[in-house]
Amino acid sequence: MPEILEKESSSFRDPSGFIFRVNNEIYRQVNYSYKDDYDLLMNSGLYDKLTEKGFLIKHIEIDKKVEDDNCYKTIKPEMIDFISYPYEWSFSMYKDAALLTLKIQKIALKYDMSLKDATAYNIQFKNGRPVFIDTLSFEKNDNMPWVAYKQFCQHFLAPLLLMAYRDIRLQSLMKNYIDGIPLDLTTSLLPKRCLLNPAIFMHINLHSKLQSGYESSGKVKIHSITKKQKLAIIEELIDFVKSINWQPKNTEWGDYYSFTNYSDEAMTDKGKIIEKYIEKISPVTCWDLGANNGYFTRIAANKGVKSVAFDLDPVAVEKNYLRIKQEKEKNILALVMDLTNPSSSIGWNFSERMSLKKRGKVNLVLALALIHHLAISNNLPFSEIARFFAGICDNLILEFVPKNDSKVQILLSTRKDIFLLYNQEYFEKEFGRYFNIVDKQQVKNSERIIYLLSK
Amino acid sequence: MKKIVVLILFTLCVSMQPAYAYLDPGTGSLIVQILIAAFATVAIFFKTIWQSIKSVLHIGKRSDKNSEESEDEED
Repeated sequence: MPEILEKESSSFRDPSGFIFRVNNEIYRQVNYSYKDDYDLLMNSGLYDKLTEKGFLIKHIEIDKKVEDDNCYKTIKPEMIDFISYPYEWSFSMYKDAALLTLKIQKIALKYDMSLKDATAYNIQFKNGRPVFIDTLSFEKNDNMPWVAYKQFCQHFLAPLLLMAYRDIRLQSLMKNYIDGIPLDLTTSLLPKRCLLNPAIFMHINLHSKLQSGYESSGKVKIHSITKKQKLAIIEELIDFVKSINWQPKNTEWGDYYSFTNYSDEAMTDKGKIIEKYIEKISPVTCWDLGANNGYFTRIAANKGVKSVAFDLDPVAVEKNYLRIKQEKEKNILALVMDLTNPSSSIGWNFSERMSLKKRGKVNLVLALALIHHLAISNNLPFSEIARFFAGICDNLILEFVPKNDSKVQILLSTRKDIFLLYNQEYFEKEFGRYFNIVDKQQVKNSERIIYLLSK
Repeated sequence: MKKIVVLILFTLCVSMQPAYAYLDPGTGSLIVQILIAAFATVAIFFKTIWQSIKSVLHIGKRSDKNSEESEDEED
């Protein structure tokens, strides 16, 4: 069978090489123009140092896959289970990604190399921890100031500061600004008291002023800078990033499991049913949609299923990530996602960053206590919800929440009940168009029903 | 202290060099780094003095978490 080569649209900007897929395996071509820097990375001990610490993705060199005169080497990096983007990370994930970038730059400088870019998209999460994935980002250090500093400020400092000091939801600005949040916008959005913080003043306010001041000045003489001074800046940035903290206030969802209308017995029974269904399917990958703190995602993750726990609430996702970090859990990734407006394809040619749908399909989707939010809070008919799930998964474990459930009654308490077709019979009819109902079971001490649906 | 002043003055001295890079680093972004380098050098100087005072007075604490972090950062 001929090999199908597909270039990844996320790597087209870098002249040092590009990423491509062959039969769903990821490869990276190193161009001749990057030869010296690649050899320095590999031979200076920097690659070994960074991979040994788990900071940089490991790769192996393989035979050439593409007939290309520019090709110096072809490498095969370790696979990432699920590609996530900065606008989907929780606050601490973002902070850990920023610190990792700085730690890598600090170590690189000691090996006389430097990062030539500092985009947040160079970080992915693997086995619960952030890892730097762009092997071609390293170049020989020179005596100029750090070339990627502006990018670091726009991609990391601006979102972290806005999330911590203005509103956690401002992270979504990263969707609008593909090369990070502009510093003048950050300045105008940050509270005025932030000006009193010398680090914020320098990295954001002053930086923004100097950017606009020199915007149209043409060629300017630039100071050289020593390695020691570069290291001092990185040390200062590390201390600064560590000092940016966000204290989540409890939200509607943050403590969800403390006040569900489930008794302990019902929670245990629900878990048992889900576990039984997961064992029946034996999935490799799972997305838990509306996962809250990942309580039920862990039933899949603990069985070795590569799982992603999505939730709308940044507090729930933050709690989930902190637990993953603390317990060193490897099979679960927590991400912020609004299912009514999921991540779309963005960037150049609509394809630089993938939509959620493009990052599927998965073997299994968990949709527990979710359907009433989609159908009633968002006025989505069952036919639309079924079509959405059918487009992203082969198997679905779904909890049907009947209309007489107290949670549904709360949703209906302030509005007219226009949902005459919100019933079990109609649910089965609409989902039956896409899935087979393999099994269904009512949760003990509850009106709710868990469905196992397969294609 | 004299050394710090000399360092700052040195930092602010100009060496003519155009910047060629894969990213456009932005002139303002390069200049702000020169200023931050001066600030950071002074900050590190005082931090070092503070560390020495702390170690002399034996008031430095070393929790497990801190040692894990420093291990993470050392190269």
